[in-house]
Amino acid sequence: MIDVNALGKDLREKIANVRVNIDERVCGRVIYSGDGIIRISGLHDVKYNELLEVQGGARALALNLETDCVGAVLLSGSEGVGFGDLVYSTGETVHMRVGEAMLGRVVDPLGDPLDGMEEPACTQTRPVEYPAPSIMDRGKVNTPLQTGILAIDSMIPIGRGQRELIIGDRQTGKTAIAVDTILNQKGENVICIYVSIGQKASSLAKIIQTLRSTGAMDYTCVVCSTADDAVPLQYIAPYSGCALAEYFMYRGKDVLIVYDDLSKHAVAYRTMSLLLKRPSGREAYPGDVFYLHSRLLERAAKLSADLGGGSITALPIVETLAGDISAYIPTNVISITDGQIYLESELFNSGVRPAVNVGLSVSRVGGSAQRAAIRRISGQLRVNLAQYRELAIFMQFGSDLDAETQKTLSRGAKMTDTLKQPQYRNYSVREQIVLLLVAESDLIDKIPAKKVTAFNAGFLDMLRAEHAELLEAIDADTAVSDELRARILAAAEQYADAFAVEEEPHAAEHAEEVQ
Amino acid sequence: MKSSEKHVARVTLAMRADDETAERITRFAESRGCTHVHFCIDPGILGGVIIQIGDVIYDGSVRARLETVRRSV
Repeated sequence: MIDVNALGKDLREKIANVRVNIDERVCGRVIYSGDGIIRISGLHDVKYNELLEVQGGARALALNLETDCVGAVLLSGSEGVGFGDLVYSTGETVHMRVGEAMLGRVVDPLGDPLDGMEEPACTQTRPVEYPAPSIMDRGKVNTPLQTGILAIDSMIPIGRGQRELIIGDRQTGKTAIAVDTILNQKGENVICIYVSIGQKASSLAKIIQTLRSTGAMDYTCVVCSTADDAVPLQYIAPYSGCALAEYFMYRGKDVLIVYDDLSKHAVAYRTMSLLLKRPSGREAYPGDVFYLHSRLLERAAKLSADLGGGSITALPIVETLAGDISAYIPTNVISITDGQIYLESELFNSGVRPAVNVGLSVSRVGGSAQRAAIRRISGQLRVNLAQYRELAIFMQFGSDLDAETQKTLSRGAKMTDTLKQPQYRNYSVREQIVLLLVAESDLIDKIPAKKVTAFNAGFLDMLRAEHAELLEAIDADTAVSDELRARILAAAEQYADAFAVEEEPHAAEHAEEVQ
Repeated sequence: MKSSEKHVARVTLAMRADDETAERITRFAESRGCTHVHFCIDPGILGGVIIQIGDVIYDGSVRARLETVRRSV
């Protein structure tokens, strides 16, 4: 029951406290409105990127300052904005709400809630556009950011403060890698920000549901702009997300930010630029589309110890068309980032998931941040896999193969199988070390082909249940000792024997069926 | 904006101003470099006065004040 008297008293007090000043305000008038763009006459002292207020409450962003008019984009669609409406300058740029209260929330690029709950209780804001840390402000990338995905952590390691591009065609598992990485940050003291740019609301809802059900929302904020949002909102979404990330970084925290995806961001910016009648260049993108992404990704950094040592690790996503990584936006973003994870639909369809193309994927700075134990074991991995792929191409000609070649081929296939990993099933560092040790040993030859994935899953379960002390004994920061290695392999051998017996009855049954 | 517009003050009132008010408004406009003052009536502003000189607007209307109150409560 609402107490009417108390409410009235409260309101009266509030109204009494409102100060109504007649301020001098600079204004202009709308002389054109259409496609979410307005042109304004007047506003002589407006600044680039300034937030404007249109009579009736709509907000706009001043982007084109010309001699006789100002071109601006509406942040909220063009309903209710008419010819001759007054437009006021505000003297501020766009700000994003920041603070701890943003964690667990789903917000729009201006920090307003979209999850049906109250406004986040934040007292601070940060400008959406902010200069990147300078050279002297930066430290060395030296701490790993574990994705929990064996193929990535072993061969394309990512360090905190790195920018690693996830690139691939549609439906190749780009978002899955990003979401898995967020899920793997549980208990790692990393704050995650997922920025959706022009995504379908349905797929976004699914991601949010996954984050909620796994408890990942406790340390995650989702900044949303869906495909039906005004184009300028899609344009500022990654910068807003980055402003929030910076708030935490400058407080010495580690942040992971996912931009999903930057191709749609470039398209949104192209739409705005074309409507503002800016000259277009290659693929109709405006001339500053490189700067659009470089200024965003440069803000991801590892700060020096003097500044608290916080970091922003950025995982931008770019969608390619028919595997063409030499298109305009992919090449731009590849050249800005510190490496890329290249996903291939062919691999995805043949069952290699995550569909990482190891040959085309690199990490330029993560190597120095990789855990010592993994680095020691995975050193040869990339070379071996490359050798295997080369041989596999020859094998297609069907010629007779000598024993040595056959062994390389079967090992390569088993190694590839080891790197397969279901979604939402992250491996801890210790589990990764065990899997790599087994895959490298001669033991792997004993396991029948196509059973490797089942063997690995079973072995890890057994290890956790019966030999937890072996897992505990692994120190990720030093190489695994020969003695420990021998003990792990002995356990694996034991399991392999049991595994073979377990599998045989099935094989016999199958043979009978065939007869 | 044309430079001549800087010398024109556009004054909006809710109803016809008496001579004294008009005189005060004209003096205010002249102190800001205006040579012409245009008066117009718009009952929609409910009361008070809006003076626009070039790009600068002084909104002292009742409507604007009510709007400020609405936003802050």
